Amino acid sequence: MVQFLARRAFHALILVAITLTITFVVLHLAPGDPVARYVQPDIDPVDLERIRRSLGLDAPIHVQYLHWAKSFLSGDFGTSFAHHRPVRDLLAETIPRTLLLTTLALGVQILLGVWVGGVAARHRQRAVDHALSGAVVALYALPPFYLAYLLITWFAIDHAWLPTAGLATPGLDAHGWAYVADRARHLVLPVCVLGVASAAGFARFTRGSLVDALADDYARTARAKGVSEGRVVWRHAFRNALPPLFVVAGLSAPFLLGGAAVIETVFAWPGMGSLMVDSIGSRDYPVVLAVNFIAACLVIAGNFLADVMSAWADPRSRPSIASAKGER
Amino acid sequence: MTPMRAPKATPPAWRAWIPFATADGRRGAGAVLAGAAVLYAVVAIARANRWPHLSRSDATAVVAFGLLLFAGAAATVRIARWDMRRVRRRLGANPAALAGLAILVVMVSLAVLAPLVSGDPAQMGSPSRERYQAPGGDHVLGTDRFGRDVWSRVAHGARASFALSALSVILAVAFGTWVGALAGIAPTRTDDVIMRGVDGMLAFPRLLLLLTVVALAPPGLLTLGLAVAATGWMGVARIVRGEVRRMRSREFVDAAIATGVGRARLVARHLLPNAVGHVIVAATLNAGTVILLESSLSFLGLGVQPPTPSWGSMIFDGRDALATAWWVSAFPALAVTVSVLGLNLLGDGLRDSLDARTSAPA
Repeated sequence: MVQFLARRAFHALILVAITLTITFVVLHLAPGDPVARYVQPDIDPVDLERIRRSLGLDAPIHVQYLHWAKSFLSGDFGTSFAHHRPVRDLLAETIPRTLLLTTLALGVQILLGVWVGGVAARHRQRAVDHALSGAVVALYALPPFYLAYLLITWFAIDHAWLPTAGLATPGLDAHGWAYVADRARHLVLPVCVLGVASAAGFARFTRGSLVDALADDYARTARAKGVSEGRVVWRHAFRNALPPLFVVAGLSAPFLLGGAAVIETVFAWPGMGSLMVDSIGSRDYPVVLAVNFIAACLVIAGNFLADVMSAWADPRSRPSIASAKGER
Repeated sequence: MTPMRAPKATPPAWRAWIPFATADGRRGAGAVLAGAAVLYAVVAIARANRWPHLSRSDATAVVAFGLLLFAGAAATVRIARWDMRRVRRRLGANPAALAGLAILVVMVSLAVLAPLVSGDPAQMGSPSRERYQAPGGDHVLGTDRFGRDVWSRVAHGARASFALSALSVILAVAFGTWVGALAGIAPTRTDDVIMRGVDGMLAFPRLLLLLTVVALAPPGLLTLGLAVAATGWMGVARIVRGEVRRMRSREFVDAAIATGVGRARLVARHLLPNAVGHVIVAATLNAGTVILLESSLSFLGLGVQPPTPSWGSMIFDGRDALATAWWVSAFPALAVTVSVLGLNLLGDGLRDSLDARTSAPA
């Protein structure tokens, strides 16, 4: 298991290095001379050259790359053009909020997806399955931000059960449980929209792998022993369908983080996604690149975690076990 | 793994494209030129008579899309040499896929014929009387806050969505197939390098990467299409690479090599046709994703720019009036949903009809 983890971690590190390189390439595709930001248009060309040298921009491209990668990896993402603050500070504020939103949404996605997929597989090729599958396919095609507005209109405007947007009630001086409850009320709608929107694909996949597992011999054996169909689905087939489900849950990380950009904008949730959208509007490249890089790292971390979980659920995929068997 | 040694010196991988430029090129070029001439004449006449508000660049775009679609379909059929009857029979047995196809035909027709079946999408009504008119009456789907006809805007919005979708999917499929074929046929070391790059690209959330590219590039339909394609080719590359690598150890490949088939021809004629079905499925599903992405981008104000109607920006415009004038955002949202639904149903159906493994009922 340790060997397996080490190898997976090594792969993840290589991926981080590659995403770092892609980020650097994108940075150099950005239009405009980076020096032009710091100087008056009528500057003496000699001074311009001096500034360029002092910023290290006259060095060969691979030296620039190494220098940049070093500072980038140590957490120095430069200074935001629009906020005049270190990008690191902006990220430190926004990343926890986005992670809170996306991990809760991932929970909703998994619970809802597994439940819907399981019920559809239990009643496969019958009316319940067709109705659920149809609803899932339609939900998959609905733009999530429109779903968000529908829910805001119904829950927040028509009935005022939940707040329309934001992180917390402005000016509310609450502590303890009242504070937590207020924050939770603001989370309900964004988490539901993001989770429900991504649950559609997950439900489809769950149904597919459960239906495959239910056609296997052990499912037939269980039925022959007199185990009820519901128990066969949830106890026998589900355990075997679990490893690929972990992988797919890990693969939904880019979707959740991308969706967060839209959903955070709709709900005025001050996270990484809305920071990104605002920064694009103000052409704030340091922030844009840092958010992209961090998001890529989060995705890689999510996939790593999914691999580990899948190995935990399915011992066969662990190379150490396979090799130990070989030695015996 | 079978050693991939051709009898002659190994040609570079770009020669995989030579068959397209030679054997089929001779036959295809004439058809494409004739098609372009006819299409251009039709559009020119239509511009002069019926569509005065169709700009010259619009007309060029229509011709270009027509040609791209034609060339794509012709190349596909040529490469795959599908047993069309089998596909048709399987597809015919799948009502959901047929519904998807029907939806797609309706929506694409709507996009192409928008100037004929609806009015001018930019025409504003009188602020006092025609603002936020409910559906029915003069305006079938009502009017928005400037008194513009929602039906005309939905119909013209289809053009942006489907044009972008077609452009970006064709580009993504072409590039992804090329990269995938290259990685599939290359030695293991090269394959590793290419595919780690693909994995690196896949690690970026697509919407965030897309936002970045859009922010860097000048606005416009072409750059938008390039940006969407640049962030969407990796899936196709993985499919093609997997299929090529899976197939290259099979006997028919050894047989082809033994008869003196070069590496380029081997890829183009013997290996790629096996991947075409999977690529078409991926392209269909990807087209649906692109429509959703376009609506998200336009919703954030970074997609199709304002004078051009787009479903995403219409939903954004209608958000404030959701309680009082639901129709302003509901119809574009419905258009997005129905289009994506159609493409997904068709994609799933095609997958079922191409994949022998899932042909038995579950």
